[in-house]
Amino acid sequence: MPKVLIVEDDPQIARIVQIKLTNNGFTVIHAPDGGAGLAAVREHRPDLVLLDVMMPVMDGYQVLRSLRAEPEFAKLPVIMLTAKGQERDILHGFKDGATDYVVKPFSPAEVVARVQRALR
Amino acid sequence: MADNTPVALEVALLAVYSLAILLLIMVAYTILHRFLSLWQEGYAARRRARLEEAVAMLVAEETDPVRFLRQLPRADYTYAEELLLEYAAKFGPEVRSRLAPVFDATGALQRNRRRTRSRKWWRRADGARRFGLMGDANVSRFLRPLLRDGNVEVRMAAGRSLLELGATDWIDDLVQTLADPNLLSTLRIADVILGAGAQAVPSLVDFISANPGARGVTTALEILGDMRAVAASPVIAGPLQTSSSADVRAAACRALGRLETPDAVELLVSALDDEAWEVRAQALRALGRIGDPTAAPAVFRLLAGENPWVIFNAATALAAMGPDVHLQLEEAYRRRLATEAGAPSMLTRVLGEVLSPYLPEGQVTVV
Repeated sequence: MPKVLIVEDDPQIARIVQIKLTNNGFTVIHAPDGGAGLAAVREHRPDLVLLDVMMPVMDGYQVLRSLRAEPEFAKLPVIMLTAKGQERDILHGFKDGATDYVVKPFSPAEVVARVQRALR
Repeated sequence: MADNTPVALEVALLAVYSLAILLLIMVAYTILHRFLSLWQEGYAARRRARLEEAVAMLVAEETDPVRFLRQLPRADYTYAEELLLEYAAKFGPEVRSRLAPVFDATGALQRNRRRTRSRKWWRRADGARRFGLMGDANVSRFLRPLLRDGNVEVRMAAGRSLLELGATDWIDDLVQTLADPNLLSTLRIADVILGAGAQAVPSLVDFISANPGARGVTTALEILGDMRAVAASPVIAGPLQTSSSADVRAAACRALGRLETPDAVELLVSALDDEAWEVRAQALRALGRIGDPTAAPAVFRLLAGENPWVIFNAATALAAMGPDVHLQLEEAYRRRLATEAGAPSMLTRVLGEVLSPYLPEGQVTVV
């Protein structure tokens, strides 16, 4: 069963995505901030990370850069979840090594489809 | 005097007692009020926590709205409304349209209608915002009158909500409010119209064509420019040729520049002879954005002017017109540096500033 880590400080968003992914056959782990997310990646070694951008402790870009700096996570698929829809923010995410980008407010079904595509 | 002393003492004591009792009542009231508030908050938090999982299941399509409503006690309707609105703000239109029947069945639409009729503007604005999250396109009939509200916050919230609901028949109403004398209000409304994108172009075109001299035309022109509405360029060009207002003509130049279409070059070159320096400066800026070198001879002519902004924009425009024009500009700069002894003229300083990022180190001696 593919393992997905959600790093998201909003419990409502995290819960909905968790329900949708669990029902689509994924094992889901939730980390409420960037620091916990980084620790969870090292501990659980997920197949994919759904990463929020605006978070306490460490923002999503910092987490992504830290992950890409470690050779074993350099190719780990990371989908950014963010309220920022500006082109430069999207480019910033891709420059730091994001696999894909979902702009809030989003459809939970779309997130599931993107996770499936990234893991294909 | 001696007879009066006990009476005075009694009065003083009475006053002290009264004050003490009053103080006691106030302290008791404060404690009771605080206690009740905390109890109410705790009660609301418990009710919300109990509803949270059921609402999450509804949003995630694990429960259908009919089943959700059957299990929802009437006393929890308002708590459910608040929770559903929080979720609606975080997820897209598919989720909102799924929640719409629940808002309707729990009376949230009616409660919100009362909110939009409040005498307090912040309640009306909140009502308008909530309608946008409720995902029911039928509420657009309650939102449209709010586009003419006296308060700009209410108008903006109504416009944004109509946008969220996917309605388009309201844009005309909002565009008409660009004539508001308050410039800050107009700019904030412009932000909402920009959010509507290409569907707002016909309304803006009609507004400009019907009222070329009216207040708000400047903003309408700026919006069309920001939208890059190339198809509207003949309408943008109209006020540049006919308006008596320098502000409107300058706005038309700015808008044509943002379109970045070579079709506008001829018109912008003719605007270089405008009597108002603001219009000449904006026409130059627009020509710089378009970057067409055929306009270079006309632009070089304006380097000889006296207005520093016109000179600066002319030099900047020329620097953006390709390598050949750039070389001519560098040549002109070097000639001036060679001939001007002592303090350089304003034009030389401007050319030095504009060209400095392109010149090899050591060439820029005067700024």
